[in-house]
Amino acid sequence: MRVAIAGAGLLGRLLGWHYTQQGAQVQLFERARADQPLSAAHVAAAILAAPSERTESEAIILSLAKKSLELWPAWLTELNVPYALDGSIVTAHPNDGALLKQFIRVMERREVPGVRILNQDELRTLEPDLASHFQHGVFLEGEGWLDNRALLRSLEQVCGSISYETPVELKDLNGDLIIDCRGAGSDDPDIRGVRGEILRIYAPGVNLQRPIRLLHPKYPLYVAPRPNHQYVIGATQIESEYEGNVTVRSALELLSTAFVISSGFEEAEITELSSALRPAYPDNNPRVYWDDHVLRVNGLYRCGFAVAPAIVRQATALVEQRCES
Amino acid sequence: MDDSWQVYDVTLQSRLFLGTAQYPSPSIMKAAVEASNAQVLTTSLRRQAPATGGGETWWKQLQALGRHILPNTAGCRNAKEAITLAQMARELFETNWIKLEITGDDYNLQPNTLELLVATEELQKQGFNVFAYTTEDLVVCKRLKDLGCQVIMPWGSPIGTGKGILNPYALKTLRERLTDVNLVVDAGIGLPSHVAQVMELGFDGVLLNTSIARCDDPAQMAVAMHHASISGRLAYLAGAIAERETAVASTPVIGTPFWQSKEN
Repeated sequence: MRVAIAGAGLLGRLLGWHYTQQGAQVQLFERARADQPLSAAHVAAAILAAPSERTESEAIILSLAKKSLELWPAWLTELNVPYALDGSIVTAHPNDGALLKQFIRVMERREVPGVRILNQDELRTLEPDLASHFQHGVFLEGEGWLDNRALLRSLEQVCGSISYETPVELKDLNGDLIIDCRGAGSDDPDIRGVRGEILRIYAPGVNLQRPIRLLHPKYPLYVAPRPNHQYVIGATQIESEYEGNVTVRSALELLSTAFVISSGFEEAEITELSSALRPAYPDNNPRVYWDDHVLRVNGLYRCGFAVAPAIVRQATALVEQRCES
Repeated sequence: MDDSWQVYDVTLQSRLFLGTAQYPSPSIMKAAVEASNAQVLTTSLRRQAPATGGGETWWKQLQALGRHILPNTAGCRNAKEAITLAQMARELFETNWIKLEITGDDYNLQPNTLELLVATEELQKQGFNVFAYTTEDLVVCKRLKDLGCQVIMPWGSPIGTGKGILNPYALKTLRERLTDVNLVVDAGIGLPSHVAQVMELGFDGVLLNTSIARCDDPAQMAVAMHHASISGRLAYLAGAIAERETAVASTPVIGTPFWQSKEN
């Protein structure tokens, strides 16, 4: 079988890997240069945090994330990708205590499992490097992070052949199976891009183990750990498809978040400021569907890494169904 | 009953203006807009990189809702920035309407009324229809009216706080003194009872966003806010009774046996 995939982001590579394992001949087409990736997956903080996103997302995301968590450990181990599922922490500055209360209320009302309220001592015990002004927090069991760039690199070796700097139109693709995974770059009329900006820092003096989400009235941002004291701070959320550099205002917001979360970040080195577009449908839920002979797999929005394995399974199941019929 | 009202060149039936930020998804926003019956939607554009057209997809989605779009200058800190953004908004949305919002303080997002007056004067001259977001300061509101602003929007309390009407006395005074302009309370609304309270005071409308967008069920809250606006408006039109200190029996006491009165 010959498989042609438009877009070599997270979904394109995962699907490429799947079909390569099936013995197919897989060709991916990517508009970006190999050394200048544009995909949301490259920029993302890649936190596996569907439960705490339940304040914004629908129940379907949580259920897709649950299925994905059954698949990720084996996949990540096989691909030799660093990850952790030791839970995450949601907290707020004491002045914004109302936001934490509201967060807890929404978690209760939506019956999100694995949510535990933490006092200051418990916060300190879990994450000693968290700034001392945080008095309360919430622990979300089972949440975590993965090293998105290590994953994309590993997948590159096993997902088939990637043609970089090759923007394609679907009508020009040949193959027994054609898949559109171009994210915000897709011609799907319902897809929009939602701009996100991140900051990466190197902080040898800081040892945060878990993703920390800071509730804030203006900048609801988070810090996600990476191996070797690297941290990703993200991500802004702007209803704009502008692909330009990170703005001064966004950089200030990201830096302020770092500053508030741990005093150890004050002397951290800034290693990167990047932006990308999250692909989203109007309901912000992913979609997997046949558009004539093309399989469209798109709309991962904010929770891409948390739900990707389940979406891949949905996509391959649709292909199997069509093959059988 | 026809209770329509005139906002610059447009006749409206609904008394709610809705903000379009902070909803969990565009679909939920759409459901809330429809449930609220609001005919005017406000949107910011400063962060969307308007010069590059970055927000175009988003704005098209808003326009597809078929409501009047009221672009705002949220995020601007002085008259010059707000004027430039207003000019961009006029081109993008093909409307002379502009909600002037100039932040004077970062902590409570209190409007900078000094810059607001400067920007209002200039934009009125340039043919804009200004909707001025201001504090409840009577003198500022009077000056806005003198400058030709026909829609004055005092806050109820700071944006997003949900504290409701912190200074009902001032709002009441505004209504009594400024009878021939549209007064719309903008910001601070948390509950339908706040909307009803504003409308009972005789305000022409209410603008809200966070109370609907960030609650657990935006579409349901939008219905509640819609009903509250009607409820408060009808109460205002009906002419409420004056408060008094002693009880007045609603059943006539004449005919009540005298010994019962004694015991009481």
